[in-house]
Amino acid sequence: MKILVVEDDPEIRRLLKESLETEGFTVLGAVTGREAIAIAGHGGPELIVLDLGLPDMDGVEVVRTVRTASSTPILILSARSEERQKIEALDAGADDYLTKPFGIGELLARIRVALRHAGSAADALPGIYELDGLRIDHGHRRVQRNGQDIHLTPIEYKLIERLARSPGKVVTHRQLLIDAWGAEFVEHTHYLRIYMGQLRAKIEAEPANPRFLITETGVGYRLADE
Amino acid sequence: MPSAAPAPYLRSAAIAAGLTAVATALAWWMDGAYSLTGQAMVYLLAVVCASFYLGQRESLLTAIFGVSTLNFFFVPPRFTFVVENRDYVVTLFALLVVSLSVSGIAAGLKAQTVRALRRERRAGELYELSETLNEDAAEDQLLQRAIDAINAAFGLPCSLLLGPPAGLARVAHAPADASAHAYDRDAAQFAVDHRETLGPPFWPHLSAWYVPLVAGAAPLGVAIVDLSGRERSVSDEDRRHLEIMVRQVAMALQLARVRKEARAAALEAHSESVRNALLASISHDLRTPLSVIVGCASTLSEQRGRISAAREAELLRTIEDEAAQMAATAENILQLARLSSGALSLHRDWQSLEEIVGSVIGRFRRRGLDRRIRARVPAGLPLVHADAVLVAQVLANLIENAVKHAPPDTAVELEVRKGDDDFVIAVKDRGPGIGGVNPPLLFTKFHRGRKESSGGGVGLGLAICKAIVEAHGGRIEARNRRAGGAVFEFTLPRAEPAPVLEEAAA
Repeated sequence: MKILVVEDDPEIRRLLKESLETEGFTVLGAVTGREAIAIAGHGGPELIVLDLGLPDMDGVEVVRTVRTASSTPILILSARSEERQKIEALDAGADDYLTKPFGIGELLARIRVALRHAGSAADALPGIYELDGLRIDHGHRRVQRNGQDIHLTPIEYKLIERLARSPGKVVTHRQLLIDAWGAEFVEHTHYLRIYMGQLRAKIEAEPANPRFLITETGVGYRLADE
Repeated sequence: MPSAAPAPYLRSAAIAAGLTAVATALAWWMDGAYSLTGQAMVYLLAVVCASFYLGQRESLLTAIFGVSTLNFFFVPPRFTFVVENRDYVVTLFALLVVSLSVSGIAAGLKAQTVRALRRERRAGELYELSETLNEDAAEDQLLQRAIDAINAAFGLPCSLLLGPPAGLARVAHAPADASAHAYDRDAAQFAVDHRETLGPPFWPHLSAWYVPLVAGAAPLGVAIVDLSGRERSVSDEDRRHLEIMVRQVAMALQLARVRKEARAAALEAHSESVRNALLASISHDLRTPLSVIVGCASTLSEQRGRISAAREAELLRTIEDEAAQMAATAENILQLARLSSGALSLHRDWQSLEEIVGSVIGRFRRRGLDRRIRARVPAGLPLVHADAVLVAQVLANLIENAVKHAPPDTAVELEVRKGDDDFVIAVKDRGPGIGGVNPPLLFTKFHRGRKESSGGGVGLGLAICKAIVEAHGGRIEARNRRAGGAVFEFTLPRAEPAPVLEEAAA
C-alpha cells in the first residue's frame, strides 16, 4: 500500500518514511506542493500525509487541487499556529489532521481510520457502530447504551449519525451544521454546542470527560472508534 | 476710525438735546412760581440723570446745553444770551461747574464698576481655565479646551499653533464650527522666536495678537487672537489678560508633556524588566526538559546493551514526556506572542465549558493522567462567550501545574460553577500549596513556586493564564486549601444574553 508523504523538513520526512515502512507501507516522498500534486496525479498513492507549511504553496491549495481529481484520503500535519489553515484544509476535503508534535502511534491510528473509510464513499452508511456499550444502528435509526434505548430528537440523531458515518474521523463544525441544519446555518456554531451538550448528557457517563463524543477544540467533533 | 465717528456723537447730541428739552419744559412750567435757582436745579437733575443712566458724553453735552438754554430762556434779559445781573453769572457758572463735576464723578464711578466687573470676570475665566487644564487629558483635547476658553473670554476667533523645532502648525482653533481665521506666518514665527507679544497698538499693521506660549526654556508655540472683526480697539488690559491665559496654557501643556514622558519611561522600564523575566523563564522552561532529554538519549546511546530492557523503556518514556513538556512550553510562548502582539484579538464564540473541560482532560489521556482528574461540571450550564483555544490553554496550564506538584496518588479536582454574573472555574490539588508566596506574585513576575522544582513551565504558564483570563475580563487567583494543597481559581464573565435556539428541538 502506497503512502505519499509531503513534508519539506528532511528529518521529519525521513522519520515518517522509516516509521511507515516499518509498518509495511511503501512510502513516496515529496518536498513541495507542486511535486505532491504531480505524484498524487500519477503515482496513485492510497493515502497522502500532507504538511501544511510547504515552501512553494499553501497546503490548502494542494488539498483543493488533489480533490478535483481524486478522493484519496488526505491527512493534514499542522503546527499550532496554523489553526485557520487546518480548518480550511478540512473544509476543502482533507480527511483528518494531526497537530505537531505527535507520536507515531497517533499517526498510525489516524491512517488506519482514514484508510478504513477510503473504500466506502463518505455518504455510505456503515450498518452498525458499536463501542463500549454504545450501539448506533443506522438501519433501524436506533441508538442504545448498555442495551437500553436512548431517545434522541431528530437533530440529535442527525448529528450522531453524521459522526458515526466515519467513526474516528474528525467532522468540522461547518460540515455538521450543513448536514444537520442546512447551508444557511454555517455560522450558528452555538446550535452545535447546545445540541452536542444534550447528546453528551444522554450518551456519556461522564459528560465532562467524554468517552465517545470527542471535542476537537476550534475544529469540530469526532466519534471515538477505539 | 474717522468714518465711524459721527454717528455716536450725533446720537449723543440728540439724546442730550432731548433731555435738555424735557428740563426746559419743566422749568417753563415752574416759571414765575419758582426762582431761577429752582429752575437751575431742574437742569442739574437732567445732568445727574444723564451721568448715571447714560454715558459721559451725554452728560457733558446735557450740561453745556442746559446752561445755554437756562441762560437763553430764563436768565433776564430773556431770549438772549446776555447776562445782566452778576448774581446770574454766578448761578450759571456754578451750574456749569457742578454739572461737569457730577458728570465726571459719575463717569469715573461707572468706569470703576465696569472695571471691577471685568476683573471679576477675568479672574473667573482664569480660574476656569486652570480647572480645565488641570484635568489629565490628551494633548489635543487640552489644546482644544484652552482655545475654547480663550475664545469664550474674548469672543474673537483664535488659534493655537505649536511648532518648534519643526515649524509652526495650527493644532486647534475656535470657534470650532467656523473655518479657521487667517494669520501672518512671519509674525507668528517672530513672536515665538523673540518670545514677545505682537499686535496692536504697537504693531498697528497687524490685525491679530500673537502671544508666544512660553514655559521653561523653550517656546512651545503661539496663540493668535484675530482682531480684524472687532469694532473698537482693544485695551492693554485685554492684552495682559490674554498673556496670562496663554502663559497658563503653556504651563499646562508643558506639564502634560512631562507627565506623558514620565509615563512612557515608566512603561518602558516595566516592559524591559518583564521582557528580561520572560526570557529567563522561557529559557529555564526549555532548558530543563532539554537536559533531561539529552541525558536520557545519551544514556541510551552510550550504554546500549548494558542496561535492562525495562530501564531502556523507562528512559524512552521519559524522553517522550519531557518532549511533550517542551511542546507545551512552545505553545505557551506562541500564545504569549499572540497576546502581546499589541492588537490582541480574541476569537470569541459561544462555547461550552463542558466541552472545553472535556477536550483539556483528553489532552492528559495520552499520558495516562486523565484518571487523576475529577471534573465536576453542572449539567445545563449556559454557553460562555470566549476564545475556546485560549481558555483551554488556561485550564491545561493549571492542571499541568497541579499534576506536577501534587503526589501521584491524589486527585486533581476541576470544578466549574455558575456565579451571579460569571463562571467560576477552580483547579484544586493536594500538593504542597503555594506556601507563603503572595498570590498575585505567582502570576505577575514569572515567579517559580519553589526553587528546587524540576518541572518547567510554571512561571510562564501562570503569567499566560493571567493574561488570557484578564483579556476575557475575568480574574484569576491562587490560595491554599485548609486541609493542604492549592486552589487556582479563575472567572469568566457571563455575557448576556446567552444564545438560545430559535426553534424548539425539532
